[in-house]
Amino acid sequence: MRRRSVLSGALLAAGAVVILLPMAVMAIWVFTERWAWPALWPQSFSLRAAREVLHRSGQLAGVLASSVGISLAVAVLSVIVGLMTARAVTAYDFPGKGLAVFFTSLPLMVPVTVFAMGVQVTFIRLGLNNTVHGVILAHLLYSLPYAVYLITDGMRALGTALEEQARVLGATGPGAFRRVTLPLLAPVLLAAFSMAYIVSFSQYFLTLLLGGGQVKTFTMVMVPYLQGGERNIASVYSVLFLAVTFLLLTLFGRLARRWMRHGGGDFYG
Amino acid sequence: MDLSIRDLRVRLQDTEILHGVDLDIADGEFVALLGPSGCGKSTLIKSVAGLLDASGGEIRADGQSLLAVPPERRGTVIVFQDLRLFPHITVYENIAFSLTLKKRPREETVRTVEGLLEEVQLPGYGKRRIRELSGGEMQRVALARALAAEPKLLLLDEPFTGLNEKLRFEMGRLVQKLHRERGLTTVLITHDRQEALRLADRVALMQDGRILQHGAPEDIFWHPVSRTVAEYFGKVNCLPGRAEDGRFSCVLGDWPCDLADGSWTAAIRPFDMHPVPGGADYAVTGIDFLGETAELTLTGPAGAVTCALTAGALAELGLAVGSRTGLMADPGRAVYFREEERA
Amino acid sequence: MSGRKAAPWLLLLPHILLTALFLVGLGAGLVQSLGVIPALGLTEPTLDYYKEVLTRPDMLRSVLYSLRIALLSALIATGAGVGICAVLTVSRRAHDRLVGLVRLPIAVPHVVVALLTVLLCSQNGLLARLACALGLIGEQSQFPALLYDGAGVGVILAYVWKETPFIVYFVLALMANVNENLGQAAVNLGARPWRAFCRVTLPLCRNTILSGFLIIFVFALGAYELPFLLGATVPKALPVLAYIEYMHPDMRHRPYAMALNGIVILLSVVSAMAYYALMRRKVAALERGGGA
Repeated sequence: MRRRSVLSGALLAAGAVVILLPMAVMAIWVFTERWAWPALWPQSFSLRAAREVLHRSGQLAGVLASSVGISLAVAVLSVIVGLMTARAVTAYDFPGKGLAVFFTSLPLMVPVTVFAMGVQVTFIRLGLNNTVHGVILAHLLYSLPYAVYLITDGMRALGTALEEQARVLGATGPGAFRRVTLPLLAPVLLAAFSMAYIVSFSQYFLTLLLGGGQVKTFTMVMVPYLQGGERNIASVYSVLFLAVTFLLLTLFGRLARRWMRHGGGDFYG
Repeated sequence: MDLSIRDLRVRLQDTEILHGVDLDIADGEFVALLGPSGCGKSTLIKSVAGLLDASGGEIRADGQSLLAVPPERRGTVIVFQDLRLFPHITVYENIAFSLTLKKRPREETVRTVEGLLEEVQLPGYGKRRIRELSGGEMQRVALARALAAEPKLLLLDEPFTGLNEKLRFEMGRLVQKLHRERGLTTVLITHDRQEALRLADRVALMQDGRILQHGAPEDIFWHPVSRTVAEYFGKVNCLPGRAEDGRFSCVLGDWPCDLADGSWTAAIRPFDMHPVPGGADYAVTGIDFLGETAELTLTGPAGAVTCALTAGALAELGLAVGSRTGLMADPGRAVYFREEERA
Repeated sequence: MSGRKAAPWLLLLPHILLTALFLVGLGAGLVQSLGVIPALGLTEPTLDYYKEVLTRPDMLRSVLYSLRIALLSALIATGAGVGICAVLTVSRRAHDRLVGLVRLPIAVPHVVVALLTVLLCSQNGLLARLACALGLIGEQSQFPALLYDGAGVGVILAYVWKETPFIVYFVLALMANVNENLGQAAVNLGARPWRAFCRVTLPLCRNTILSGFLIIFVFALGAYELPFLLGATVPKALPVLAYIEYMHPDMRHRPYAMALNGIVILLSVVSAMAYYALMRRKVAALERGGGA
């Protein structure tokens, strides 16, 4: 028993080092002015990189707005379409259900590069190429599988019993769904929302090709600095955007928890 | 609500579960739906409540067909076996669920919920969370929540399963009391025959998706229509015999009857079979001592026969396993079935 | 209840439209890979582009380079992820802290992972400096070139850092659940915890683990950022090469891009079929549970 807990303690420590050390180094780079070989600690610090990024605050605000806006839109759409799809496959039987379930995860099996180069002609024809709408649509395709997967599992765990109870107590079908199932699914919806947001936020290639440089998201601005070897500016952007992601997801977590009040955690304990 | 079910058929995933159920329930009646697990009891009440679609037949409430009415407008409320309390809201909000749907004024809702909590003997429990409740408390909350929905027909799907005997008895009494005070048409599903006989105005016995018999507890107990029904309510001794010229004769003797001539089987309850001192045709092959009463297995010319007697009578007779005794049947309450019914 | 027939289709409608768009993109890519681009007057389907892609040494090297990166990173990440899940499950430790920690890399975009890899693993990164401080090396150039190298070590390391947590996230809940219910029963019957885990829990989680492996394998096969930012100039990874051909001013290069993509699709289709086979059980469970 003791040996096992030592093992998992060591694992935790190793995990912490491997995961946190690179993040810490990046955080140091935000303030690094000079860090010459072979020193283990920077020779001088400054706020130059941070200032430089903030100096072009117009550009920064624009990138922040389009990045966060696109990812939020994708996350909201993923949760809505995910809910509808999950509901269809958990509550109903219909011919072709197996295929429908398979198609929900198909994008996980087709890399973004393949899809993006193939679909661009269609996007141009539909007038979606180089537009925010087009980028949102493309991101949605790749965020949705995670949302559907998580929500389907949650719905299946919840079952239909409580909705049946609500119906016989006088709730209409949609009413029972809204008053009982939806709040109890809140933790799952939050997980789906977060995952969809993250997947969209991390996209590079879809935005590069289908946004055509017109749609500037965080990854679009960040990559040139990385290629140019401007480590501190790349670090400033990364830390800033990760902080925004973290804050947003924490905020939504709070909202979700307030919405369903005392947990419903019985199902996911 | 006056409920009438005619030839109701329900299929679940290509299997017919109910094969033509007929049942009438009068307004204000308390009916116990009795039957072994898997006989279709739950399917029946879910169909009545509109949670399952009928594939054939008719359900009418006060003369109006219910089949096209969605569950929320049927006025039929189920208390499920697993209670199905909403875990994300408080006791108060659970009970107030239907009142909120009806947009009742706040003060009225508060008054109603508090009154109901009082009635189910849980005053002051409103703010509690569901996971803080004990099993018995959850049952009471589920009951209160159902009553708050002002059901025209209350359907209880074995809600007392899982309680200990004492709590179970108390809950039964509570339901009976609420039923009497409110005059609420109530159906209680149970597989406990004593519970059914004790609480209900009438008992309906179900098996394999059909209703076998429906009647007052004493009626169904004393006048079962088949051997299956008779056996469901307790042990019976079945004695094959013949009726001729108004007399029935079997291995235990003959006595007057008003049967048509032919082969019949007499079913006699254990407490109408008496060991008699003096005789020696029967050997005592088993004694089940049950406290106030005891059951004796006697083996002899009539095969293995069960007699029930009070513990006092057993002591007086001084019988033990291995002793021999005579046997007498009291045919006054015997029930007769045609031979072929044995199948 | 009326409309039960139509309801699932209405609910599925947005998903069906999205799937249609997805399949159109996929189909268009496949058609172009056969050299059919009517706008350029190319209408005859041919397998020449595939042949050429698989016989031109530089392109074949790209195919093998990508396969190698995808396979190695997916294998290592799956192995490490399952190992972590196993230790946590068997020691029955409260995983809250680790699960929180593990979620962190999932939220980090690949371009940021590329930055982290540069900061740590380049020849003047932190690891090289540590090696120097420990006296293992004296010059930057003595530190092995992990980035921009033909072996793709840096790319693989970056994928492992990013995808191991994904596997943990994907597998841990199920594994803990299975072990709690069935593994404990096996322990109760006298099996030692690790033995019970290997004999009962692990086999029951097999399909989920394989699904996770396939997801990250296909991802690494076709992802652009990491090989683009951390990979070698020669050979280039498949997606990088495909993008170069795709963006070539001469549109007649486009079928090469699509043929390269076609190879990725082929590998993906094989993976997808395996994934579908793995999911059938889940679908069957849905069918049993649904329609009540």
